Formats: sequence, structure tokens, C-alpha cells
Amino acid sequence: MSLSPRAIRAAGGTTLLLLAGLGLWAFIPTEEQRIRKVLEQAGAAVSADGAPGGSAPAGGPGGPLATLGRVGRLTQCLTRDVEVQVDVFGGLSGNLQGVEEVRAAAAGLVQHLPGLQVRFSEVEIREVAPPEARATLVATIDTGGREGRAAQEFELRFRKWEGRWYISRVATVRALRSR
Amino acid sequence: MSQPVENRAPWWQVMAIGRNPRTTLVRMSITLVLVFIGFRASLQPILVQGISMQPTYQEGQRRFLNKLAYRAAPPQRGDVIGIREAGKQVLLLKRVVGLPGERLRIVQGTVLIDGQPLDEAYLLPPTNGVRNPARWNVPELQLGQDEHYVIGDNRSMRQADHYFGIVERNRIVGRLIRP
Repeated sequence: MSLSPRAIRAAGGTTLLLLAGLGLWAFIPTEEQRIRKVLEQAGAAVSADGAPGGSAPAGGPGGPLATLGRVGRLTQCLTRDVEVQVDVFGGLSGNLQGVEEVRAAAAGLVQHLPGLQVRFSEVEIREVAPPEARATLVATIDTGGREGRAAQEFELRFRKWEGRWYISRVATVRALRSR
Repeated sequence: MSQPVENRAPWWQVMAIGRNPRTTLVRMSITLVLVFIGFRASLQPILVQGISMQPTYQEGQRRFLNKLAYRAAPPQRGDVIGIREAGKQVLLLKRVVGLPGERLRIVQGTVLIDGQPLDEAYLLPPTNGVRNPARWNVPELQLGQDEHYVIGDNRSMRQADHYFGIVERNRIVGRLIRP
């Protein structure tokens, strides 16, 4: 049995279309992957990538310019009306409202803890319903100082705007609570 | 015509590695894998840190949590449980004092369940007739159907320094195995 040239062309075209579709499916990131990317960027922005020390040169990795760069990269991941709620037993407690308050707090944090390293793990992205999404994660915070390492669970909310996800709310999670 | 000589392994070798070492090795590998999977699924090793469970548990002690303890039955009053604090690795160790649906309050260090004082034999023996020198007070609260109330055994701490309260069922990892 021999196939006509027309049938061969049709089969070839269909295969190509299928392959193209498969390629698109494989390479276009899902909403969850996009959200994870934002988290990666935020974690990398907060974490130190250079030598610690308050006397670092202005243009050096631990200097004021680098601090500005890190804080700038962090705020690129946040909505303008971002809300941060921190309530840690025996530790920090307070709220930040808006990207400017977060920028100021982050700059202070990065300057006081130049060796700060933040790593996110156990990231669970839930309720992805654009333009909103929620996630929980564990942040392992290494201050690089005597305080050592601590782990804290956070709940995050995201908002999608012009095709990109931004963090709109960050809140610490407490395992035990009073009523 | 000579008889075939049977090459039998000595008895001590059979006892140690079996008649067929290759089969023994495969069996051992499968057993080790099954034991490892079973261990991971049912037990979690923990290292006690902090003083909130003194005098029952001291800092630096190593214990195991039975992760299957609450598959069939809910946590009982008096159980020492592991609570997920930040991810799967950072756990709180507390004792269950209040069960779902109960009314609980603490008056001058005495836990009252539905108005009745709770006998807590695991606390430090009374000193000059005083069992709970910290004299904690918690106003009455009603536990929900999915909530337990947990406290550490060390009631000689200041109330503000002791992390205790309501925990939701889904944060309970398992019951501590007593030595």
C-alpha cells in the first residue's frame, strides 16, 4: 500500500503542529511557575551576595549602593499597597503598609544584617485564581551573626497585574494562638 | 567413573550470609529499604530544645514521635505531642490539656476544663503547697471542633515567656514515644 504525496504532506503537517503545540506547552511557564519565580527573585534580593561588614566600599557588594540595589530588586516583587504583618512569639511584632514602608524597613534590615541569607522551602502555592493567589512557605533566615539560624512560616498573597505576579501580603504564621 | 563432589559451604558461612550470598544481599537490600521507608513514615526523631517541657523533658534529650498515633484515634488529654511550627523540621513539644468542644480557662495556674480543675500529675511537685508558682491566668474560651489546647509542663516560667495556646488538628504531627 502506498500513500499519496498529499496524504504524506497532511500527516507531516499534523505532526509538526502537534510538536509545536507540545513545545509551547512545555516552554510556556504555568502560573505556579511564575509565582515561584517571583519568590526566587524576592529571596535573592534580600540575601547577601557579597562580603559582610558595615565598612564595605560604596560600590562594593556590602556597600550602600549594593544595599539600594537589593532593596530595589525586592520592591520590584511587591504591589504598591503591599501589607506585611509580623507576629513572632518572643520576637518581632508589627505591621508595614505600602511599598515605601517596606523599602525603608528592608534597607534598615539589610544594613544591620549585611550577612543575611534567606532561603525559601516547602513552598505550597494554593488557590491560584488569577488575579489572586495564595502560598505558604518556610523561610530559613540566617543572620550571619551570633543569633544564628531561624525558621519561620509565612503566608503570602499574590496579585497579578499586566501579566506579572506581585506579592501583595506577607504574614507570619503562628502554630499556637490565643483566642 | 568418579562421583561429582558436592561443594558445600561451611555451616558458619551459611549462618552468616546464607547458601547464596547474592540472594542474601538482595534480601538484605530490600529489607533495609522497607525498614527505612517504614521508619520515615511512622517515626520522626526529635531533639528537645528549650525549657518549656521541664521537668518531664530536658534540653538535649533525643526522642521519637509516633507519626501514626493519630491516624485512628484523636489526641487524648495528657498526650505529649509534636506540633508543626515552621515546616516539617521545626516542631513544638507540648502537652494536650484541652480537647475539641471543651470550655477551658486557667485561674491562678490551675487549668479548669468545663469548670472542673484538671489534675496535672506531671507538673513539678508542690512547693509550700503551691503547685503553679507562676499563677497564670487565661480567660475562658471555647475550643472549636478541630482545636486542642496545649501547654508545656514548665509552669514555673513567666506566662509571657511560655508559648502555649490553641492548636489546630492539622498541625499535630504525632505523639511522643516515652522512653
